[in-house]
Amino acid sequence: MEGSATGRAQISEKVIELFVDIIGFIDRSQVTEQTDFIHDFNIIDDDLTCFVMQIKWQFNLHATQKDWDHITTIKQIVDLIIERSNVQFGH
Amino acid sequence: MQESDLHTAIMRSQFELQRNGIDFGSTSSMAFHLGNTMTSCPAVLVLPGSPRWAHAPSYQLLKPMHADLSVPSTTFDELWACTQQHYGLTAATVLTGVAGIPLSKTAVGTWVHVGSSKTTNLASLIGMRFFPRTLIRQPTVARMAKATFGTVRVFGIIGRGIPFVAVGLAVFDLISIGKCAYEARNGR
Repeated sequence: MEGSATGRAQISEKVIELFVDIIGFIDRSQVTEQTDFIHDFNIIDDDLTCFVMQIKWQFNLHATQKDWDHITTIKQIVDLIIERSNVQFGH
Repeated sequence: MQESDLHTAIMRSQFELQRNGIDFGSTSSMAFHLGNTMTSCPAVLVLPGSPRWAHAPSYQLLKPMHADLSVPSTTFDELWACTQQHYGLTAATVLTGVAGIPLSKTAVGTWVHVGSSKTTNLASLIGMRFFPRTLIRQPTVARMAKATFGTVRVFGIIGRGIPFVAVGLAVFDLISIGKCAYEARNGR
């Protein structure tokens, strides 16, 4: 159970790090899993696309456009990564 | 791709940018400054800036940190061919010819969220893939870039100011692309 929480926390941190690094003008302290990356900040379309594409490439995430349609928060991205990666946290 | 002299290219680019509400001021002044700068630094990025005094330029020139001064002048075609080769661009993307031609996001496999544009361009795509963390770090320029273009990601800016894309591409891989062009010109 603890392993699962740690694994999720690591993925969450990596997603937030990517978001902060790519967008460039948002401080790490402003971002949590609850952050709505589409509406909470005034981010241009190209930057949002860059962030999502990096998520796909970095996590080798096989997701369809349909999967992405309802996603607006960091938490939903983390959930999708965990769901699609078949990673088994803990034993 | 057609080449043109610097002043003509600047005038054409300025015209496009002005249609999008971005005004760099005098084209002659920019041609003079760019011409001077590019004699010692073959790649320069132009960003909007506040004039420090009346009639002062309303732009700033951003030079790469480590320019390879041995890279000779090259034609845009040579740089473009080497850029394609360097990034392994496919025949399909080569067909677009110009970095600014809209590409369907769905066709190139990028994400489209509700309400977003359905197209991107080759410059943006290269930026997303290879330079996602290439940001403007200098605080003043970053603030201006954010205010004007809504982004501090260099390729985000290039994607929005396509006329300068050739220069932008050259900035970020000047050494490898420039040397490739040099070798192509010298038949190596």
